[in-house]
Amino acid sequence: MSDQKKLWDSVLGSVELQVSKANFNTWFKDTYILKNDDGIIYVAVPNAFVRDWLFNKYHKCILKSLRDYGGDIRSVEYVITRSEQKKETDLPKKQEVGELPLQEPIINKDDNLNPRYVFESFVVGPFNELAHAASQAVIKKPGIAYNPLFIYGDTGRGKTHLIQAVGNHLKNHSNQRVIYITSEKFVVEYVNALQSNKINQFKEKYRKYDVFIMDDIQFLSGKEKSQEELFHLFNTLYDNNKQILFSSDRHPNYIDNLEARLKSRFSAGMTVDISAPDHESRIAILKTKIKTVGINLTDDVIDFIASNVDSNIRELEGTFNSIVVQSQLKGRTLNLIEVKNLIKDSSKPKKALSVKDVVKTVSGYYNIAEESIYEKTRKKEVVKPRQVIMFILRENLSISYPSIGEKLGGRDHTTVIHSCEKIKGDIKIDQKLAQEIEHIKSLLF
Amino acid sequence: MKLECVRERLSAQLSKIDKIPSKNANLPILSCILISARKGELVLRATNLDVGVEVSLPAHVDIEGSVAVPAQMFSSLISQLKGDKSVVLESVEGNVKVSCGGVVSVVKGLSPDDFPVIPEVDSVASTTINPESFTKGILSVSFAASQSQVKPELASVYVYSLDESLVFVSTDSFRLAEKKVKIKNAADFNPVIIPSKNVADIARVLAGVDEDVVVCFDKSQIQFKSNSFIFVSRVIEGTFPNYAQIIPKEYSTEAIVLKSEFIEALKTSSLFSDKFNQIKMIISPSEKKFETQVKNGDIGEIISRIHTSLSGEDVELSFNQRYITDSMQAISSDSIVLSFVGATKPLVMRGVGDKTFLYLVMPMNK
Repeated sequence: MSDQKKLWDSVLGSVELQVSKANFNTWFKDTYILKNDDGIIYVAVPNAFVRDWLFNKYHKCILKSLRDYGGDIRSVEYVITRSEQKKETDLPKKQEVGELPLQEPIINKDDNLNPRYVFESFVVGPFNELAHAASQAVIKKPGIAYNPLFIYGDTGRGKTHLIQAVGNHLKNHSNQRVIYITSEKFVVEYVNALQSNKINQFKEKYRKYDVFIMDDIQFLSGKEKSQEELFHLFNTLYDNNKQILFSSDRHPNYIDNLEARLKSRFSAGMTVDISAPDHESRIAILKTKIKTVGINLTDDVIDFIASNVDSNIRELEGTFNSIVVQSQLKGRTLNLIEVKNLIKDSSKPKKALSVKDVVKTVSGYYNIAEESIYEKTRKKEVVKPRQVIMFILRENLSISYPSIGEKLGGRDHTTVIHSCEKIKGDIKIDQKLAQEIEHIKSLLF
Repeated sequence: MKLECVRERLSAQLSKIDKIPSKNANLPILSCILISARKGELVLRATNLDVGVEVSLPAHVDIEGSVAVPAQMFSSLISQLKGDKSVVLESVEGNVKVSCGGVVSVVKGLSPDDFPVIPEVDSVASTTINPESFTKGILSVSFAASQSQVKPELASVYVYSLDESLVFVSTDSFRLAEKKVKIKNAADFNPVIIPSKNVADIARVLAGVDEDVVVCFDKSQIQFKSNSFIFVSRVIEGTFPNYAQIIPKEYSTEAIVLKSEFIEALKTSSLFSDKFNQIKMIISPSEKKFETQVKNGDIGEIISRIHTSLSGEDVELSFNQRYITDSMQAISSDSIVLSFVGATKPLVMRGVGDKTFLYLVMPMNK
């Protein structure tokens, strides 16, 4: 194959010398050698114009160059071929894509639920098994088991999938009236209702549902009137034993500008988090996807994707999808090198973090002056951040104890050891501290 | 080359083909038309390597020969000459001397040898058709084809035969137009997918042709041919999506509106449309009302009530207004039936009493 390409490149090279650039681009672009059949060269051309033109004008020239470079060549035939990819479109896979020309909107307009989000496609791993178990309990006893169910975790971890799966299940199996809404949409509808004096209809609308699901609750932050409306809605639904589900990117207690009475209500039922998926779970997720799409990927490729796209399931799916499209286009399974090439953009290189970066972020987070970290002061508000910095430097950047001490204002390495041990111990008892450190890490990495 | 011909006939033939040559081709010859004088006729040729056309007209030929001249320039010149009934074309050192009445001009020409050959179609199958019916059919649907070339089969019109008729279909996957035209010899017509950007050229060339036209097919081209012209277009090799399955079989709501009133309402509403062109239709047989609604946060809102006869269930859905307006020119009846299946299913539009045209639009997501 590459011999033919080389041969054609040499032919094109010599033709290019003899004709003008415009001529060359018009007539020789998209031509290539299709096959060499025992001395007869078949040249692929994009259309009949080019076929006739090459035959009439350049046939002798092409034949001569082919003989110069390729030796024993008897004749040249020109064949119309749409483009290089055309050859592979005969594969059955490509056909399926063209089958449904009109996309039916997949999201149900009445309840905003996406039927794709179901438990069958939800992969359970150690990182989300608690959240999964809680939602299973909710399905069995809606309104009674855990009300409200509050799920939080970083973006792309499957919160929406889980709460929508609950909604879909209750809708399909127990015939409950379900409504799914994002907090942003809730605010917009509320404002519209206020403007057009339809506040009563608005109140009515949401009070009639059996299951109320609100996504991305953190966006309510600072919207006081909407919060108040939600508070009343919450109470009404709760008193009537209607199931309520919320999702957010952080624990309710850490959402800024959220009224205390809402915070306490959110935490009243069950609050679970979904952490980052571990390596095995990522592999499991990929394997489930592979099964639904029906393509082949070797184990080392799966392993490679799983270890390079970490933390975010949505990115994992995106990467997977681009691999699927590529392999459909090529009509075969991709090998490891091709996959590496493909995802070199989506897997971001690890940032090189310096001690200074950590100090800056942490002191910023606790709102203290950066310099105070290096000073000898033992004020309480400085000591804790300093210990957190030491802990992160040790745990995440694996810097040695003595050099941490030296970099943070010439402290003894035993001080550093003590700080790390203290934070390590405190995390286990102090939930708030653990959250803070999680947060700082997400800012850093 | 030297010949004399009727000015108006030359101008008419030129206007059929002068849009074809590409305006900014990197090869100058591709923006030219080729003028050739043969025994008793003048032949004009144009191509953009996607379509190729050759038209001829009777002429008094003194010396045979040919020359290529810039299409736009030459066509404009001929259409502006008013002096005399006839025009004389003569090649002088590769340029064309045009004389008409008292006006003599010389247009710079290019070598005719560089002009692309218009490919012959290796006729696998052929039939004859009525050009007027064919033009009508293909123009009724080509507007619904996709603008993007990503899926070439969607940027095209699909033509196939079904029970004595030719069926023309295009879709861009958000709406679909289908037109059936009764035509004799329909059964011999091979299914083809014609790129929609070539449709205007086909229509222009076929316009005013009153005799039947021979159509030939091969794997990659379609050719239309009569005594006075030959037209070749590339066709798409591929399969057109199976669209029959998405046309609803039953409807839950039906509304019959007067076309003129409906157009009026759409036109007024369009003043308020936002960048998504969203228009909401509220069809309520229970309250006996049919309203269209456009809301725009920046400008304001408009509600139009349309007189209509309604049946079925209440339904509310939104559409891209442009998709609805587009179809109006293809509907010839003065009343339109709008059929709905539900809030997430396509709207089907037909003219009352007109079974030949069908238009399908997907509703917008909220």
